Amino acid sequence: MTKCPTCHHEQILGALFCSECGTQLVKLAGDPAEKASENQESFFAASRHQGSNITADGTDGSIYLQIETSGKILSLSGRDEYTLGRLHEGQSIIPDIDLNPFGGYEEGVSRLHARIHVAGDKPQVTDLGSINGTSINGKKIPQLIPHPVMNGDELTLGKMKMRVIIRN
Amino acid sequence: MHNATNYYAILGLAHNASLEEIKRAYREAARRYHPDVNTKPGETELFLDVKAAYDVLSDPEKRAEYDAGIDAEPDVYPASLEVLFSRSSLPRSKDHQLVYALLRVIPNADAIAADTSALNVCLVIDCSTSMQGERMDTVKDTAIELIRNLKPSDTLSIVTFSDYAEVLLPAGKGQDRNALETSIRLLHAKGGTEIYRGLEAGFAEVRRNIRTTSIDHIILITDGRTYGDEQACLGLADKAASLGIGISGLGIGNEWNDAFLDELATRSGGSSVYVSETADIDRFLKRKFQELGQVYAESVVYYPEINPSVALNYAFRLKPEAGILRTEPPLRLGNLPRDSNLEILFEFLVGPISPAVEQLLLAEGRFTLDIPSRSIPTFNTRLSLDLPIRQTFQVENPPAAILWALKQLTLYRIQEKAQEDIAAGEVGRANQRLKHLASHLLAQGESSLARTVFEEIENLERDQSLTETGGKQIKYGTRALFQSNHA
Repeated sequence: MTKCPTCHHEQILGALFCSECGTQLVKLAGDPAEKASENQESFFAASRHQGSNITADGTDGSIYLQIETSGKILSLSGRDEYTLGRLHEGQSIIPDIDLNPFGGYEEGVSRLHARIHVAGDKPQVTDLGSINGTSINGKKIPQLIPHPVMNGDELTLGKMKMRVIIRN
Repeated sequence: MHNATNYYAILGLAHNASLEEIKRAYREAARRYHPDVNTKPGETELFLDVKAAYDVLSDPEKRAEYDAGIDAEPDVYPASLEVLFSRSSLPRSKDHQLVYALLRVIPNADAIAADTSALNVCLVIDCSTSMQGERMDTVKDTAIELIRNLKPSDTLSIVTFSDYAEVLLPAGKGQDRNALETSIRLLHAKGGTEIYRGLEAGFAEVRRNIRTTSIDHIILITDGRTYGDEQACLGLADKAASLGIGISGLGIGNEWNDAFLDELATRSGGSSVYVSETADIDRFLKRKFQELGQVYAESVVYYPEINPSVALNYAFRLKPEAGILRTEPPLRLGNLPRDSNLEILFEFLVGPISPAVEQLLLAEGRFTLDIPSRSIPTFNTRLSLDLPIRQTFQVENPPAAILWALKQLTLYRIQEKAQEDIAAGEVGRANQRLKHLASHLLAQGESSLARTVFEEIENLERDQSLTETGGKQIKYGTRALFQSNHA
């Protein structure tokens, strides 16, 4: 018997998804989700070494978010879309990118705040019904409607400002 | 070898068919072609052929003599069957285990060029008081448009029902389509909803006009619940299925009985759809007609014997239309389009595997389909689902197609469990499940469905139940995930 990593429900041999919470229990070879988290880790490792003035080039066709206050850069590659929010103990909704380490709570970021859709040549940001809203270049975007973003745009979740960097 | 006296082809049998299969095939063919049922001119001869074939093949001596005289080359089956498993072998385990099989029925390349079959379709329209207004008007407009788009060879009949049924347009040739348009315009809604009366009249129309070459289907359009005649309706669906007539249901608004309509469609290999906005009625009906026009093989049926140590937990049609299938044989899989596959996902629960077993047979049996454009329409083959046994468990990555399908199916089943929990008064557990569902939907980019789930979580917290509309939207919305993403 194996246990679901998310809800600890005991799984029957051969199950591919947790019957209780829907978590995928097996991986495909070259699963994009796995690749994304690796990328993220290596990028964080790099930014710790090089300080805050890192620029994101030399990577093909990628999108990055640079947090304004700290200059930290988050890589969004390897996956079609990412949800942005704050990790909260005991919460079933888990954002792909946790903004707590960058002061997400103080800056009014909701637990599940926004989604950024990366696939294709036009990235789009969708506010997922956050309490304090999402703005692009200071202009608030309506909830649940995808909104295009371009290289250099300023994205604000609650009060947390970040710069969109797109490298082709 | 194809000639007029290919007895195997006439009964739709493989050359190595057993006596039991021959008898079964004869009984089925007799039911279909017997002159008492089939009054089309020229088709009495078909029954005589069936009888002659049976007389020879059921007698071992005559059969041996016949076999000696024919070319033993097997007939070409009009579609290929491909099976993917979630694992390439099963570990020998004392515990229960799950295994998934994805069956693909792929039409042969010549299917595209095959003659399109004539439609024999009956629209069974609910004209009860609640249909009054926009709903009725949309149904009327769509029906008229469908009539205008019919090919000369197609047959459409229309039955309206409320407390009683009325055949507005009988099936048959030489229909005055202009006069019909006028009578559709004059339709008005009144009375209650008695689905059986409508279905019975629709069934009679389609049955009267069955030809071996036609695609036979009943489309039920309703917005209400029927009371007391559900069992009679389901019995009729079984009867229709045995004659190769499919039933599909379109439920409008939030009053209708979804479990009943699902069951009705499932029994005949049809599909059921939920429409919350009137504008979608038009879209559904047109798509349904277009799909029926693209059918290559109808009545695709698998008659498996399932290993007693194995249970078929779930059977779900992924393509061409998402739908839940019954898990007791015969498994009516639906129709095979000429330009796309028919795909079914099975979930088997395998019991403890004894040390003697080297190869585990999950299910084995006859697989049949009807090609209406062929003179002898029924084709039979056998399909067995089996896997080798290994001593140890090995980590294996399932095929992407299975993983993808199961991901969607898991969401559907989470909502199913949530609705069961609510029915059992387990509101807290249902709430937790719906939250999981919402977060997966958001992660997949299904934000509008996710929003419905969030709204229903609030309703659940406040009223201890879901709204009728929300419950149906979540159920049919998660089911439609197969359709929207499956390229």
